[in-house]
Amino acid sequence: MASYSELQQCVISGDKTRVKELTQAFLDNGKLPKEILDEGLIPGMAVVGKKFEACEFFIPEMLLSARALNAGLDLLKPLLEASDVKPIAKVLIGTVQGDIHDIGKNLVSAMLRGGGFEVIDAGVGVSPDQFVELAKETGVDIVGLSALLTTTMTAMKDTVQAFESDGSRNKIKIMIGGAPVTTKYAEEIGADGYARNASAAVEMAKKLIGAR
Amino acid sequence: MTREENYFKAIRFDYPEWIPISVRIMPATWAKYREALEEIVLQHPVIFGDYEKGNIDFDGFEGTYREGEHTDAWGCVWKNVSPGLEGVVVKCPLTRREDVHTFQPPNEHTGLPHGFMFMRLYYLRGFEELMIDFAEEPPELQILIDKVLGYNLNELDLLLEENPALIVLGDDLGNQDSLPIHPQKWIKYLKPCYARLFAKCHQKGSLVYLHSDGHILEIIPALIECGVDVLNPQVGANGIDNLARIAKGKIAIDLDLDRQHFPFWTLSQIEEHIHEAVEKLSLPQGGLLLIAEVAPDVPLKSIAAICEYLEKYKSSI
Ligand code: B12
Repeated sequence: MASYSELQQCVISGDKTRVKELTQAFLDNGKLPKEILDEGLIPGMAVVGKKFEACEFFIPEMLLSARALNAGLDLLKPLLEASDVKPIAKVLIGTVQGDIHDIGKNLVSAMLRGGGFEVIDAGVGVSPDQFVELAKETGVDIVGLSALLTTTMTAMKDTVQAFESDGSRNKIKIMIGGAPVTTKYAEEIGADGYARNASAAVEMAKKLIGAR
Repeated sequence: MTREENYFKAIRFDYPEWIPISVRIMPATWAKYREALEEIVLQHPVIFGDYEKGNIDFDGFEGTYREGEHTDAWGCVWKNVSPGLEGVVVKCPLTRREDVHTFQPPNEHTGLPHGFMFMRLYYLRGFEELMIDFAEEPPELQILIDKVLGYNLNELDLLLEENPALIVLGDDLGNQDSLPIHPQKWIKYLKPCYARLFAKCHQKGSLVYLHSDGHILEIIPALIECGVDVLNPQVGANGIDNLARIAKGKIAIDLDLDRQHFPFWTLSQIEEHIHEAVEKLSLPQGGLLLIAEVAPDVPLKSIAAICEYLEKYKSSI
């Protein structure tokens, strides 16, 4: 029988077919879906994040691994839901009003999914009110805001304020990111965290959930 | 010496009299500041040449800078959410890999607009699909590259018929702190494209100007080998010291001053930035040009200061 380290390796090398086969084999051997996720898929993706940080992996390799992981996750998801195993947390993510850059946001989403989060993608050019509405509808724990322009960073501040005015700010954590954004800016606008790339975003999301 | 003569002396390392400077105003910036901005422009003929009052239509956005959807000649559908700024491709014609085989580049001539090569690949395939292609390296990746390159070579032939002294191209190759793909893959797949295009320009006696956003340090040596004569890199994503180390004296640099800081910097920080760029990159024989693009969030007084400091330091050669 294959080991979890082999499954991790297949996630790292982005071997979608093998990840699917191995996940199925673990299930057939009576392993619990949650264990396959926590011992195989997620640790594999964590290594991918580290390799990305070290500039050993670039976007192609990261996305290939994310797709391989999804092949396993597709098999596990219905079983996890049936046994009432919840994702680590739910994240709503979107690019703020006036901004159309979505490449970074999509990578963050892929890595969050790979880190065991459920991700709801609000798309691009999302207004503060839309963020508030969507967060309510979906009952998320974290809201992620992406901005790639200095001109649209201010919409992050407006979004934080919209949650304040709505009275729902204390129900969620807000994390922000994008090329011109910094930790200092996050503090200034009253967001809960900043992450400089997709792999750091997973760590930040975990930290925010831990701090809840 | 005319501005043009001095410009060419600077890019040919032929002892220009001053550092060529320019300021680009985004359409959205005109729409926001209007006459007040025009006043600044009129005060700086050294930068804006013989601009006259009323020369610009403040709200005259064109093509993908207009609100709404717009399909280009390649079948890519663009959407604009903020008029006066660029839109984004929201529908890609080649989302399935096999579509690449039957795909034909446009019959009409579109020139070589911004995003003519690398970006065009992801406008056609979608960013994630293209990245997966770079990871898996199926034959379709090379087929697509060859089709886009073939079209571009033809367009370039047409542009070169006019015997321009300089061909100006733009393609964003970098992200904020890295390349999107491994430099080795860039060298394998993309370097040959730029090398062929640039060689064609040189054969016709034209120099090559290439703009790229983002972090491109690792491929600057390859771009130099491809034959780029003037590179327009983003300062923040690459760093002045790194650019000096890798490119100073080898090719001319039209330094894209730090747009990611202009909205927040004090006037003296703006001055320091321009001063530092000149100090670290300029050579008596030339090779440095300075360009500042101003977005609508740069305060008017900062725009005026950018112009003033550019004029002040242009002579420190
Ligand atoms: C590709 C690109 C485009 C593409 C976007 C395609 C797309 N589908 O997204 C196109 C061509 C459409 C485009 C348009 C424009 N762009 Co642009 N673009 C870029 C470029 C080259 C790369 C951005 C990118 O995709 N990076 C790759 C991803 C993976 O990185 P990332 O986005 O930074 O994301 C990572 C982190 O930031 C973080 N992150 C991102 N989001 C989030 C969210 C959360 C919650 C967290 C935790 C983390 C996080 O994790 C991500 C993954 O590691 C940058 C250059 C740069 N220096 O970044 C310019 C850049 C961002 N663009 C710029 C500009 C000016 C524009 C335009 C205004 C240009 C114009 N002429 O109109 C328009 C914008 C119009 C609009 N309304 O938004 C400027 C912004 C300058 C400024 N003042 O801030 C930049 C910096 C280039 C420059 N020369 O200065 N652009």
